[in-house]
Amino acid sequence: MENNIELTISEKSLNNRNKRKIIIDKILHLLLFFLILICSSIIIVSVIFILIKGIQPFLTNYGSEGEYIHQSIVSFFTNSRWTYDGNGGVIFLILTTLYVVLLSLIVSIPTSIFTALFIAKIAPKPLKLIIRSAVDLLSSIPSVIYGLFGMGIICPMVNNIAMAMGMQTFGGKSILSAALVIAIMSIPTITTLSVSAIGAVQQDLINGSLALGASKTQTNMKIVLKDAKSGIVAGIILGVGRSLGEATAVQMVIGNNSNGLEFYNLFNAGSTIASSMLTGIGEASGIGYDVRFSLGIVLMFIIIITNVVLTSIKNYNKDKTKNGLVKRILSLFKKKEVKAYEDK
Amino acid sequence: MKKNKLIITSLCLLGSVSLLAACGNTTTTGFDTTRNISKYTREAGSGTRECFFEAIGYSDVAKEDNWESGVQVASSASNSQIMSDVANDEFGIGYCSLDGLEGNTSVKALTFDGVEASNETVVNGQYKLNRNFNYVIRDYTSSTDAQAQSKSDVVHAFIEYFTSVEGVAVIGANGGILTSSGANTTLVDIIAKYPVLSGSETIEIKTCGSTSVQKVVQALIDKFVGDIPNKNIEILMNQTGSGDAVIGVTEGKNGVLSDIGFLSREIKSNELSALNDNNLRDVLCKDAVVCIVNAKNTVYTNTTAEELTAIYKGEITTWSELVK
Repeated sequence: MENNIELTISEKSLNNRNKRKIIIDKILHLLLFFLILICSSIIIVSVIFILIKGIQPFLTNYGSEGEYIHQSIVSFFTNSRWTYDGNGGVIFLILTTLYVVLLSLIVSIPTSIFTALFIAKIAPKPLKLIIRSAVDLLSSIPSVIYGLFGMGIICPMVNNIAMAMGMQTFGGKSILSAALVIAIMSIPTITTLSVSAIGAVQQDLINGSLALGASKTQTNMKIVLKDAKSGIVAGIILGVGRSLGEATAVQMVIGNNSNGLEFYNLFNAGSTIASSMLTGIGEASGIGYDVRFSLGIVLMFIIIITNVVLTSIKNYNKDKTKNGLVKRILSLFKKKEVKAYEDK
Repeated sequence: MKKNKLIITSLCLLGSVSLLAACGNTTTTGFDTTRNISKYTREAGSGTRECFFEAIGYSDVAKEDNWESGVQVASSASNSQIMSDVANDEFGIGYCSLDGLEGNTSVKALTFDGVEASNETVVNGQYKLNRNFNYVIRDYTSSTDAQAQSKSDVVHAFIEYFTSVEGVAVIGANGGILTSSGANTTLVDIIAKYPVLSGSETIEIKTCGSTSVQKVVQALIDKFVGDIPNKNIEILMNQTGSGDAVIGVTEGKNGVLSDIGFLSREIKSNELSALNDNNLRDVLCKDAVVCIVNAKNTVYTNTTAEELTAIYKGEITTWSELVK
């Protein structure tokens, strides 16, 4: 009898406890769901806000006294220079933006991949710690500081190089300087992600390669980097995203020349989408202010498109390597064996 | 293999050495007039820019970057930035406000039509590259604001302060150029005229408009608010650009109605239609725009409107064409 009672009591308390746990769980789930709603609605609201504001210059009349001023769609896609008065063309801004980012990648990709390889595989432990924290520190430096660094160090350097080559820059303010500053800014992002990607490479794979007689360098270059490829590309995607949207630092070193048809000349001044959104925003009003939101839409599209392209490249590589790196290594050696056998 | 490594390391060393060499200043002998002129401008929408290009007669680009095709012009986002940009570029030419140029040894001010920019030449009208800083106040007669009367009094007292002995001194000390030195009142008279200044009512006055006047107006506000007996009066600045001055005092910008709007240019005809006689408006002070070149530029000292137009149009591209 007593036993029975105890059992029911403990069962009851257990049930109660379970119920309480379930309730707490539910509350927590609701809370998290609510937070996620807030988070995602901020994204959605800001995108919708920029879309609405950005379409406005094409539709509304900004002129007074019978003047009709609006952003003309035709010149938006055909004009070779950017202005804020409704006749600006965006094409060259897009081209300059992509060009600057591409140039920066030429510098930043090799630098950051090899830094990452060094940190993850080659460096002795104490050095590893120092370099790693240095890279982490770099990624937390605000872009204005990079801009100042660019103005103070990179611009004079570029200017001197141009002078030595018989060319001229705007005191070093040029597309090349912007590309270098952006490269420095995206190095920590790419490096950090590459380090974790390289760190995640299976030790078996490395051991296998070493056991087959490959040297450490061969293993690092041909096995580790290949296996970490998708992680490295993810880092590059993040870095490119940051570079495309960088305004402050770029605006400080690019020279803000909106007549930029000759953007292919490294020593010319130019302007990117983000930098032209920022330049002169303090005194802008009317269409000159609203048209910056149209640039915002263009920038968002460019970032989305580049991300999609890069992600598809990444997945393409993944599909190819899915069939097994080990198999490939083996097949390499197998072929040699077969050849040796055939030769015999 | 070893040979390759040696070659690669020596190449790396050579590269880094040449980079370091590029970092250092290359010594130049004299000013090389065969070099191109690098043109600098303030950003689109700037009041200084509008004044400069209207004055030299190249109004196509006064507001927007409608440069001739193929002409490269770098834009700088502020008055101090254009000075540092020209200071960093031996072959640069640009323009900035006279205020702030004093004591700057890295850029050289050019004379315009043979006249040097100074307070005297602006006041006597010899120096042509100048502009007015204007102000306009809100119309309080149609206001539904409960504090309309006291706000109106403070604002009127403040604009009278601009021409008082104390106000004139402040404007002069902060780079503003006064057309007439005649100060017609003193702060004591103003305080006697407007009792609200010696009361204890809490009043908040907002200013808006041009950023170019910021320095002068901030100094005026600090002195005025500091010197009046009523310590509950506050004057807040929110300068965004000349374009917001008239909008700010008539319909309000982003729902905020301002009390005084400042412009670094004249009020346009389409803006005048929104104003009436109760919107008192006048000239606060004058400012001169000065054409500047790098201090190393020893060959070019005087400029004219025609030459500047030709430079910015891209008709004159090298310094040798200017120095004959």
